Amino acid sequence: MKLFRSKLFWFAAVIVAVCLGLMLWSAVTGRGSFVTDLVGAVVTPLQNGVAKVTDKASGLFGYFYRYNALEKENEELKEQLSAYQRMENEYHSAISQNSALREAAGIRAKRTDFELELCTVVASAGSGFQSALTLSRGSLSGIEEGDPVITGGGLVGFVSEVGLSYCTVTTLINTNFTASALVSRTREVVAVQGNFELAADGLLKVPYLENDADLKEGDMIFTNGGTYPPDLLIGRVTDFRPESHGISSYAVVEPAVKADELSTVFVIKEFNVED
Amino acid sequence: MFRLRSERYALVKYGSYALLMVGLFLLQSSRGTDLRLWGGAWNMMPFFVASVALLDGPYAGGGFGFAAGMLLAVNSTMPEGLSALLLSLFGILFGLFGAEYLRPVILSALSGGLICMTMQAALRYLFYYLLVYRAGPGWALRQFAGELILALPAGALVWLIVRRLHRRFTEETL
Repeated sequence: MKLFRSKLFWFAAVIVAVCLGLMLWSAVTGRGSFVTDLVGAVVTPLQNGVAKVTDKASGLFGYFYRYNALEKENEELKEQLSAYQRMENEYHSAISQNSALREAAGIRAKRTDFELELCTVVASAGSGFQSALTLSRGSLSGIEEGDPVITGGGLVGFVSEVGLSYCTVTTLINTNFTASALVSRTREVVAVQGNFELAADGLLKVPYLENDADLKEGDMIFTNGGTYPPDLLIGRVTDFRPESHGISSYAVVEPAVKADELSTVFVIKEFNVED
Repeated sequence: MFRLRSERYALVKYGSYALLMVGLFLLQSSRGTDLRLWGGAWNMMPFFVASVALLDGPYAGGGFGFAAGMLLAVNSTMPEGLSALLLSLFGILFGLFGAEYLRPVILSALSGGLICMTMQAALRYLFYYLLVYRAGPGWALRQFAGELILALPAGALVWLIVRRLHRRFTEETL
């Protein structure tokens, strides 16, 4: 009885009740409460500021101490650029041929329109199989749960939680990520998902493949529509392995975009695909 | 008048603690300053809560534990309120235990922070990694070792700063 007269007991009881209430709210609604929204609205701009300062400091450090490495990287990128420019000429030729054939067959040109929101990555909300990013924009900018997130290099993930001025992005290697995908070479439709063991190495899994599936190292994996716009690059196959039970096999995919090296991303708020 | 002045200093002291807490959170969570080792992330909040609880008692420990937990929820994939519950209960219990049995020295604060981190890691492993992913303990131990290596030196610095703030505003009220 003495315990129930103690001020400390009631102080602890109030805190426990508030915390349990927040946990229940989070479980029922699947999103954060106004408290997290408020805290996020205050803290996210500060994190953005810190990220900008560290970017500047990192740039200065790189200029003085990583000059040789940057020079070498510059040369490698120039070689890659030349190779891509050669490939681009071939693609333009293929696209022209495709357009002409579509016209001849009476098929409309395929078009995908995006409405994009540029966001800064302000924090990492987890790593490995829990990999997630916090961005500097939220519902006030029209971002909604489920919106795909991309960079010029490919798919980064999807928006899993939205606050007023911030949002959390679940990345490709997170075990909550799954998508329908297409193998570029064979046009085979597969499923891509994050995996607990592979996430430690920053890799994805393409499960449920036949043991003699035609998938090999170097094959590119793209999104296949549905939740995500089609033709977004997910990654590249690096290995093909049998499952431990031997009934099926799986492919290991290296993501095209490394989430922990990103500073800015685009959130696709709307997309319109015309086939 | 003396009571008014001491209340004002208490307000300034807790305001300073709050600013320090936000500063630590920004350091450990912002892109570019968040450190990671073997999958473990830099987390100074347990040491901050342990330091405040040791110096200012269970009420301050519980209150700042709750606030620290709500800050951690912003950049976390864990259910909202869970970190706040753990840190606030730890703050209250460590404040009570520390008032009776511990001296307010760096070893006590680091031990408290270590206990809090171990508690969090154990609960995380048992109720999440083991239950959902059937992960082995070796991987979880490696992650915990990474978290410890990053957090212990920072935890010592946090204690020194909190103790400095406490002494500054406690001397003023004497």
